[in-house]
Amino acid sequence: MTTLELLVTAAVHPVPGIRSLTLAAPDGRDLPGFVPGSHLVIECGGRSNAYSLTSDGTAPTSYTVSVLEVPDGSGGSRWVHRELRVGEVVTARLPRSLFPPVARAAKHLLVAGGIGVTPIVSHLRAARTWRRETEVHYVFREGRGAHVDDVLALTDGAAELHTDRAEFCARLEKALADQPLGTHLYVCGPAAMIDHVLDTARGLGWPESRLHCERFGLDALDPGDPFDVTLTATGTTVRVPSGTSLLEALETSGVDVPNLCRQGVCGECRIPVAAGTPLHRDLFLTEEEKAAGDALMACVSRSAGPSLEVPL
Amino acid sequence: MTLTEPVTEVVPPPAPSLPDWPADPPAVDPSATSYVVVAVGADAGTREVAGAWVADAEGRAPTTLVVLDAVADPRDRAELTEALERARTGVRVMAVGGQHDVLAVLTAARDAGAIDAELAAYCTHTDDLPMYCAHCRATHRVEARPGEEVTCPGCARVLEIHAHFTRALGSFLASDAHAAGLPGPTGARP
Repeated sequence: MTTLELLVTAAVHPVPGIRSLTLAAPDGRDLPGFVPGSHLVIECGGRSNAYSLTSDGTAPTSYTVSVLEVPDGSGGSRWVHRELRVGEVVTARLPRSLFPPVARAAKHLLVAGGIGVTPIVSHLRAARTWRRETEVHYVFREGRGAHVDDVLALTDGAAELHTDRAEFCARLEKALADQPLGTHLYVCGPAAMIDHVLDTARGLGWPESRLHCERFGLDALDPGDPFDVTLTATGTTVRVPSGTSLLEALETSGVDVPNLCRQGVCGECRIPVAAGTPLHRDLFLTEEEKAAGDALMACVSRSAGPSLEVPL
Repeated sequence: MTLTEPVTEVVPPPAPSLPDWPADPPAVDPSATSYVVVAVGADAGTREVAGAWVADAEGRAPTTLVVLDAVADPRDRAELTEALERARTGVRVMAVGGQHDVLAVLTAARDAGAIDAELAAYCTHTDDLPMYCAHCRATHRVEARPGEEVTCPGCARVLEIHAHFTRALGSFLASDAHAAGLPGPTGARP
């Protein structure tokens, strides 16, 4: 079983711009459990979008996700907001975990920006169950804070809410400078906010292995230089023009590469590299894997040189 | 596989699981926002290394020097625990002394939540080590090296110290050196 058919049993607009869906098996059976911080890849009217699960992952009978409408996005969130109705069935992949809590952490410092609060809610549910120590900082635009009630309830009101960016940055720096040994940091939100939080932590001496982030996707990438890719299985060479992704070029030439997000996040379109130097532009591979240079994510990454060889 | 087939036991090659000590004292990590330097014992080498670390660290960030006579001493132990509890993420803990004491400090630091990236250590000698007896299930300080036999200070069995250091216990594993020659299950010792 690699896909799930999920019935939309409820849909609400808790705050402007956000639609929260409750999903269940059409026959009411239990759904696969998931690790806190997991996301669900849902087919949204022709697009596959990843949404963090905000419900409890232990023996679930339903899943909940909260979707921010992105008016100038690729259309998936608009479809969820404007087309999808209660009673309809959506197709989703099994929950995937790329942002789990560290079980041995002495304390979990959770930082959320805007709709990035969704995986944090899931972390907080697990933290409550396992009595893990947490500290939460949540920054959002006044009147647009999703899951504020959940965050407050799950922290007995201790979560620190911020609607002023400068005040948040000042408080964040103080918080990062005053955590007990053994604390792990988790941050989810807009890319610029994640970068700011991680850079502040690094500047305060936090080792890399204490830092965990979940990104929504890449900001627009430059079109890149053209290159040739040689498919060693057939000996054919495919031209990848500027502005065309390696994944698109492979698909056009009849090579099927499994893929989901097509934006360097999900890890599905990873292909091996036999020769040449990849130009990595994804958010999935680790620094070590990127340095090894023996695989790349075909959806966003390219070649650093004029040609690349892949054993496909 | 059917029951009549002979079963060949596959013994994996021994994995290195011994502490890998640096030949020279490691440099102070400049990215830290505070330092805890722990020196155990009074020998000149320990004092010298701790002094050099403190001199370098103090110029970079707030530094705490913890000097202990013995990690097993309850008052010394309390002082180490307090320093680790006061430490904030961003700290680097640096330990110097004999192997037994350095391993005890590193284990205490790990128990307090530290990870490898936050730890540095230098051993002035490897003449002693913390040994976990598999029979009396306690850790003892012994003056011996992995592969050697010692009498357990706890249960008086003759133990072989195995070339296996376990971080979870902060000790080298040791077990009855002559257990293989003992009678079978009916006459086995507990």
